[in-house]
Amino acid sequence: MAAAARRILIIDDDRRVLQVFERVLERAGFDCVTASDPAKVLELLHTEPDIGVVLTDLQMPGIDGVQLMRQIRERFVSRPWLQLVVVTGNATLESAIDSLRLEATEYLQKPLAAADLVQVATRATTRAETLRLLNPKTGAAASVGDLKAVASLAGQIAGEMHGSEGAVPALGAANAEQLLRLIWQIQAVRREVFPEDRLPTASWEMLSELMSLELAGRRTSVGGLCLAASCPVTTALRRIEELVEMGLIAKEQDPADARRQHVRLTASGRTKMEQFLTRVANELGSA
Amino acid sequence: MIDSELVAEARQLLHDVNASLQLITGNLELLSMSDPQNEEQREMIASALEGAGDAVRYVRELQQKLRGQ
Repeated sequence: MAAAARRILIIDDDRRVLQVFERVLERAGFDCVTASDPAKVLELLHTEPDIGVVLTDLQMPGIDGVQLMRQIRERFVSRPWLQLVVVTGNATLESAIDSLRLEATEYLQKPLAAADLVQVATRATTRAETLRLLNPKTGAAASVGDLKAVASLAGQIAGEMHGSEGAVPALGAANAEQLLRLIWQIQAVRREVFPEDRLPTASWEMLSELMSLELAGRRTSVGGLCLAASCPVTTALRRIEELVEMGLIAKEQDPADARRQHVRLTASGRTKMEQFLTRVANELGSA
Repeated sequence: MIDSELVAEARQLLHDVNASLQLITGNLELLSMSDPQNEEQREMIASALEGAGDAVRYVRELQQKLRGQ
């Protein structure tokens, strides 16, 4: 599954742009499928069930990218792990909100630097891979190889944070029960590092988003962080204040825009996230 | 206030310029990653990427201004 999850479908009506994206991603080891005709996308996804990520343009003849993503979500309900990434030449607030409602994980503006494209693809395929494995239907059929892939993934994340290659021992015999046990272990680690009564789900989602952005060398604003939490904006804002009080995150004024505040993990917040990820990598490795 | 049709046309044009910039920067980056070039070629690619980067900033600025229309 590890190889399959690195399969990306790229949609753009401009064949030359398709070729550039395909070349950049294939150099980075991704397996790409391309479509310049959005009308053929649903059929392609039907015949290529291994695709984990759909990277799409928005303005295309015949169908709008948002409509296309809606059709994908409706038609492929059984593939909740499918990651949608938008790359558009005309970013608007409306299309960004529509994309987020359809659970697009990234919304980016062209032109996109090669390094950014690879980072986005890596994050999206990682999410697809993990979600696919943890999905009740596919998870039940998870193989030893699948679990090794997750262990290796967690090890890579931990290694990346410590500036070294993460070596995680191979897993032994694995089945669905073992997978569930691993999930419980992960939850136990989370409760230990971040006691449940002090850390509601929305806060956890925002901390994870900040860690993910930090690893990708990106940052976000208060508004952007609110979107990462699956709760109303007012609740998210309250959670942000709580996290600031707990010393896990800090807000900073954007020098270029007085209306915007950036949010980042504090040293303490980052240390706790590192502890969490390292512990998860160890739990997976020793399972 | 600018004519709304003109704004829509300008937005479409900027969308197309961004696609062109994607081709330029993407291919230049691929070129810089491929066969080793001599110093002069590397400088030319870097300079072209710098120019494209300036163009990207100008387009973003224009798009930002048009969002207010």
